[in-house]
Amino acid sequence: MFSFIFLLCMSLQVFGNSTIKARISSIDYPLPPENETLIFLDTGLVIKTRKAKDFLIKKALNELSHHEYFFTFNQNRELIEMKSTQNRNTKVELLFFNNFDYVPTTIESLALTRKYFREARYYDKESQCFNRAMVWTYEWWRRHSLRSNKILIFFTRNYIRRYNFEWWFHIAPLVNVMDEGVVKERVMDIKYSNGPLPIKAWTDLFMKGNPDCPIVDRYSDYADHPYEGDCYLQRTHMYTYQPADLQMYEAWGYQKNDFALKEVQQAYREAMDEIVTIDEEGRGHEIF
Amino acid sequence: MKFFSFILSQILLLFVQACGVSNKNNDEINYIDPPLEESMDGHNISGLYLAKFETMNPHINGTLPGSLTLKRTNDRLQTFLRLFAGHVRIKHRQAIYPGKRCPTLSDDLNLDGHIDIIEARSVIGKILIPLDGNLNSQYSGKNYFPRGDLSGNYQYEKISSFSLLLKDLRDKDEEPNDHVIKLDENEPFGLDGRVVMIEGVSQDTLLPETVVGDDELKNYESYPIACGVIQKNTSTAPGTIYNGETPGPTAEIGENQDIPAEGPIHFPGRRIEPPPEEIPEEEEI
Repeated sequence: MFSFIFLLCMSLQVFGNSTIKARISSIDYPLPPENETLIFLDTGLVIKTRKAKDFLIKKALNELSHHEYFFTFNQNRELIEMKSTQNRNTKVELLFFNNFDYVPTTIESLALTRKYFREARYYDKESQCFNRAMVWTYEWWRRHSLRSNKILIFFTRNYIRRYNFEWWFHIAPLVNVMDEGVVKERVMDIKYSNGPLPIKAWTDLFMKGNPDCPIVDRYSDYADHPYEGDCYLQRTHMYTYQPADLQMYEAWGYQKNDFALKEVQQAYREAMDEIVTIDEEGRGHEIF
Repeated sequence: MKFFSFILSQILLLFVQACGVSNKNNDEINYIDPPLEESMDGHNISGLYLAKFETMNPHINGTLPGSLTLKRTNDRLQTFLRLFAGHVRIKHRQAIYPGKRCPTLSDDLNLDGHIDIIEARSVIGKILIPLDGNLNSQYSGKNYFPRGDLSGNYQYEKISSFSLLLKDLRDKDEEPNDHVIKLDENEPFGLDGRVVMIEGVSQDTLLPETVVGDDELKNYESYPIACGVIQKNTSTAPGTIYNGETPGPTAEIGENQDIPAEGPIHFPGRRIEPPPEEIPEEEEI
């Protein structure tokens, strides 16, 4: 299955170079220095360069992290060009609240879960996983009052380097389903599967050798152990957008208790190429 | 029977005495720190080391989560540092120091309510390993420090050679009067128990004149913000393997739970049309 996903990913890019807009999250320098430098983007993608010494290292520590750039890379994710977008990325206005009880909906059957899965919109473009997950969970909420969860898989730096892996994290919706009298969790990753998947089956899509990914409760459990194991999993609620939300919760106990509308707007724009409008007057307009 | 009772009473007495001795010993136990992993050639330094940050000067900095992870495998030393929610776009000088504890408010020598760089250094000493552009040398790469992004976050990672780092620390100190020191000739080296400290807040931070910078930097540039004591990580990798159970609480299935919800976003939205492709002008033959 890993090979299938790998081939699928490769087939989408084999016809030429790709360009994406992103900021640099961190840089993994090689030893010996002539090896590839890994560049971790805030979108989750990992790209590579052997020219780091020429233009990246000096700039990266001082400038790059707060600039947004267009990165152009080939099918092997080797950096070809990096161009400034000429504008600063503005912070999304977020709503934070402390202490709220979040209990995800239990969907009454696996059949209904599959129906929800099929109903989720898939737009055929290369988009960011956190934006897709936001659109899917938002639309399930609006159509069905479905309170879902999300699950993040974090790939350790060891794994990324060992397998030349493409991402440092991936996120997908996670729902609770009543099946044979037991509440079970199913991952609803519309892009990479044909239906709701158990967690292990979902991680096996991405993990060579199908290792077990330990489940952690705190972001720091992953972030403080970048060189141990291959992967970590963390559950969160449907309002979470990116890993930064998990850090804020751990550090200060703040978390969102509603969808941050600007994040939803941003998600539609990037994942669906759609501009959605916000009704300032109130809630409850027709929408479907 | 008498003999048997005597034996039994002696055995019981032995137990009572044993418990008594044990209690007495417990009362008298003094906790002794385990010896630090140090050596002249670093042979006993291996595996994972972790420093969780404590926020310094929290009345200015709030709470800044972050950590330093060091991993030595043979000659490979991996260094990963993350800081979350510092001041926006600020350059952070960061280094490992020989000191064994982080400064606290009790180290505020001039009683101005701030621990500045001079007061901090009186506790942690001079810079031993600058976490800059080149870990294999104290001086090469010394001007390259990470800068926070628009949310004040940054991650720093270096892979270096442990032997080159140690060799550099044992070189002659060409500038003994600066803020960076070398190891003494017979001084053992270790990571365990050393201190990592991060500096730097924005220029518009209101700091009293009593807060001083060091020779090279302004007071806000060298203002201490986070500190941690590096410790050998002997615990197993975090997390639990998924056992198929759904964590609670789980919701009951309610009647009519599948109904539309209200919300202010109108979707689907207006599709963004891609810009028309530019038709290249035909070249004149």
